[in-house]
Amino acid sequence: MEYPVYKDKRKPFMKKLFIIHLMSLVLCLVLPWFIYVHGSFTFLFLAYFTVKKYRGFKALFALFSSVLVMLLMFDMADFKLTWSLSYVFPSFIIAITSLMFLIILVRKKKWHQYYSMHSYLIMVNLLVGLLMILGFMQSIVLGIVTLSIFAASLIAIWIRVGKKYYRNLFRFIHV
Amino acid sequence: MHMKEENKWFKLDNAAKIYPAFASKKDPATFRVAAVLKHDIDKDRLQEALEKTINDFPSMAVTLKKGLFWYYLDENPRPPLVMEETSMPCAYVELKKSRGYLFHVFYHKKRVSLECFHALTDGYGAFEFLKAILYNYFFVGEDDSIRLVGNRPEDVEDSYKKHAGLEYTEPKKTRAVHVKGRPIDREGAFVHHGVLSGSDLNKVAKSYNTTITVLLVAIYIKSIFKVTKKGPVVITVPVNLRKIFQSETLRNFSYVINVVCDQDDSIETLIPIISNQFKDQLDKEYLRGQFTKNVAYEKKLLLKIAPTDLKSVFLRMARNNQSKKIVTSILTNPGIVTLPEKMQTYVELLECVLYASNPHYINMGIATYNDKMVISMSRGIEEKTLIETFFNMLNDYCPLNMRYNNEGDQDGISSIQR
Repeated sequence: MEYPVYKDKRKPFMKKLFIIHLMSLVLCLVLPWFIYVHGSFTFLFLAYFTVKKYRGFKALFALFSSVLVMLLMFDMADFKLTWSLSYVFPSFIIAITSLMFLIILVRKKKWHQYYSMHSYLIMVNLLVGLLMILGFMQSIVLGIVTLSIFAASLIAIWIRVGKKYYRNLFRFIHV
Repeated sequence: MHMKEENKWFKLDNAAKIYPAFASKKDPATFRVAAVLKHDIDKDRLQEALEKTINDFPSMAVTLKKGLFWYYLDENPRPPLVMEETSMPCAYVELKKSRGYLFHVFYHKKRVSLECFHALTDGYGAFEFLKAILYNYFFVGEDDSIRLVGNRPEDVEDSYKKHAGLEYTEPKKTRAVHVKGRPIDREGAFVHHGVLSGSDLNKVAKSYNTTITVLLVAIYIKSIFKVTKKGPVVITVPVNLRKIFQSETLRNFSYVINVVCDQDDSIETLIPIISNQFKDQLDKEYLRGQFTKNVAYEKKLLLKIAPTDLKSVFLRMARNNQSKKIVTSILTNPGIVTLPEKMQTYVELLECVLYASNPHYINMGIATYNDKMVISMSRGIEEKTLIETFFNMLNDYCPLNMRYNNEGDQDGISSIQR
């Protein structure tokens, strides 16, 4: 009937980190320049979480997203989103899509597992289109390049992975 | 009929949908079924048995994935691993540690434990799986008296949807008293077991003209009144719907009934009150009306097309603001678990342990096998008053043969034998 000896106690580390992050956010409202500190802190916070949780392409995607969030916050210092939306955001998508494209070519077998990431990318690309239509994005060329690369990745998936990928995608979006 | 190769994924069953929305380290939605054997476990043999069993139970061989609109269970091609038990029972099942599976198989000396995330299955399904693992651990070949394969369509069906009707029933909801205490600083729960003779307790129950479960609920309610000094006390009792609706599914197919007692009274007075509530709520059409309501929610278009994260927020809110407030504690009694005769030589006891989380810090799981009834009280707070009160009170009705726990003494281990 014996049970083992337990050693693992709950570590309140994350709770403390969350409280510090919240305090940092409040400080941003008092000291506008503090957003640069807060942005960096947010990046570290998100990066820690994502690297701990994900591996491979997902981890990279999450890490890129953390950088994106940080830069968006930096751009928010003057209460306007300008260069981050026009250049950083599409560049981020181009980088991720290109990487995805590369993985499709070299790791065909593994790729069918990444349909969830791809679905999120579809949504992000739709957002790019919307931002272009609404005039929030200054660099139309970059926007068009982003969407074109993404369309190319869809074709590549269709050719390389085919049925299995779309079967998984169906599971992901089932209602 | 076997499942098609390309069909190894499942939508979450109706009851399972809520668990991924709220489950966390603090509220793990994990339960344990365990077997204490008469000899120490051979790790390699157990690993082989688990690998053999998982191939025949597709509903268990899955991982949880987050879809755009709903979570779902997707096939998991990796072999599961048995692990030495090092953490407290009923801790959160972390997919990274479990190779993506929604269960863990632990071993420690004579105990084999199967800990399941509730989105995967309920107590019945877990016991069926554990029994199959144990059978494959001891023997090679087949046996008619035990289910060793769970890959027929009826084994993996969502029975809630199959048996849902058209009309709803609305249960009475009462804000319940909660057992207060200082939360423990560990993941999982402390467990206090009490072993007694099932037939002896049945005789006591018969002397009150009632069943074992009703008697235990009555004693439990009295203990809670003694500790909290106020009411109403509401005990949730999960009901296995398989016998009522003729289902053989290995996925979730249970519902709960709530037993409400507004004031403390003698056992003689409490028993008929509880019996009547059991009788009313165990009515087939009443139960159907209960889960029909949940199935209907799931079919609402707005809910269907809402993103998973948004749905999770609402489900979490509903749980915290409604479901949790109307329950004092959970008592589950899956009933008598039978094993093939040739297995009985090797198995000493079976245990069923529920997780404990705020505000249901103390819960009770009961497993009866070979006339040995093991009552397992899980505890998520430092205070043990309620547990001691309950076992002392129960001891007055039917003597406990043995008590043991996972508290550990100075050296870390304790096994209290009377």
